[in-house]
Amino acid sequence: MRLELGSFPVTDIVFGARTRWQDSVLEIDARALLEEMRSDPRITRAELELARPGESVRIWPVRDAVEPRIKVEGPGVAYPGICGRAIDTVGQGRTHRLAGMSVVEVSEVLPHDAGGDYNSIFYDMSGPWAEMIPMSKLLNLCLLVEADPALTIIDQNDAVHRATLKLADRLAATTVGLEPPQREVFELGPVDPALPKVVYIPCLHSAQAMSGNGSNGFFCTTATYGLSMLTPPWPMHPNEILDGAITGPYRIATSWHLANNRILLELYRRHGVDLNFAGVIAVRTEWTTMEEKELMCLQTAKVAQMLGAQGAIVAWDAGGNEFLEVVHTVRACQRAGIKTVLLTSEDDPTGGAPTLLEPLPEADAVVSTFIGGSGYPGGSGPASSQMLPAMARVIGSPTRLVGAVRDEVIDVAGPMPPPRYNDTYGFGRYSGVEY
Amino acid sequence: MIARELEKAGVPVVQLTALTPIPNTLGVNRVLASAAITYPTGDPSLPPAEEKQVRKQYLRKALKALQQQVEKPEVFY
Repeated sequence: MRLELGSFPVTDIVFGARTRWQDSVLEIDARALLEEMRSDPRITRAELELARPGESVRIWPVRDAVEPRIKVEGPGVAYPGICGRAIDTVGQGRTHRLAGMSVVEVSEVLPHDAGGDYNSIFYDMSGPWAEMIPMSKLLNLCLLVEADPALTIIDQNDAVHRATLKLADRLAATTVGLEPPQREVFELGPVDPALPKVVYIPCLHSAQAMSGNGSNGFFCTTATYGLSMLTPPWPMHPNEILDGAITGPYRIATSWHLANNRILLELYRRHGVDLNFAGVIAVRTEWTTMEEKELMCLQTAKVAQMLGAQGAIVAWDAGGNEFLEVVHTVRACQRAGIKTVLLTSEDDPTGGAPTLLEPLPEADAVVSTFIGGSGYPGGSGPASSQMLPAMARVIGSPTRLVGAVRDEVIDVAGPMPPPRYNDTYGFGRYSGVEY
Repeated sequence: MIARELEKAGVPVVQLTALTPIPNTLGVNRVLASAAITYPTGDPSLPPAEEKQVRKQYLRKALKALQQQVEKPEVFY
């Protein structure tokens, strides 16, 4: 499987009379594009605003961020499966991307109606929160999009996310027929057999147990080819992920983050140098019984063995009980003779609880990407006592509900408590700590 | 964490949970395993009358576990 990724840098975005990419500038005909978004009768609001790095801007609520990508050669479409897109296996041919920007889906639509998962992510383009997230360094074209609240939550999700993808598609289409200024070829060609075979195991949360919806139509969280349901471990070629086969959003892990996964790219670039990248196993988390959890971990180790893995990197996206699948996968791999590294954030140790939910002895190689969370003074990033500064401009909704029962209304432009942050992929701008 | 604090205050605790490894990590002494994370005190896949029996069994097992001496964290089934 050979994929050529052609990057078209975007150093500026301007609103103009047509939509085109030229000399690293993306010109956008907002009126024509928005008309297209609004042609879906389910859409009640569609507007565009631009956020630039360094501005005193807060974007709220962020549901997803999508890097415009388009397949110009080879089967399938970028970001396959989701919102009724083609499900052909991706990862071959040539894909173009607009680098240095994202389409940010700004919407009040909730991921599902089962409770618990509220919109909680916002981006600051300057200040301490901006320092922690890669998104603050991008030109963020924000699509303010809402759907008819009389629709089911699944239809609302479909409407707003379909609009986001449509916009990303239109923008990426400006590169069709152009020669990419930067090209990189991704292919797992034959390498020195003495190099250690390494697999990457991202653990992806599924909201199926929460939402009670196991159908293909439910896609409001991390999805693989559009499927967000609980599935057995899924062997994947890394090229599929570069073509957006795993999409967001789930909290901090947006479609942009998943397609630009730094661990995956690093493993790829070291293929044939000091390791043999043997592939990816995407593992679903939040199974509801210990037996199911354990079964998935054992099966993951089996698949890793079938791929010939001698080493594995396990990462995860977010959650609580989901950590059991994660750490038991580490144990299962270690017991199968595969040297395994766990990439994780750590919890607030106040009160004497361990910083990992279940610190198994088999997890003997851990890279810590973050510690704490709100209120832990020894942690990474701003503590809850340290409010994020007020911003001059808000893109999106001016108010936000906070508090344990979400009964307090706060002004989004004003000082804001730091968001819940589990940077378990290591996407943030902080360095990791090795143990 | 609540279970641990209660025990510190001298009240013995049985924790009913599907996540049996976690209370062990945290030093909860008596854990009673239940069916699933999404319904720790019952099983909605059963008819109501049968589920009631399951709930009763949990309660009986929990009370029995409370009376048992344990040397280290133990999971009861």
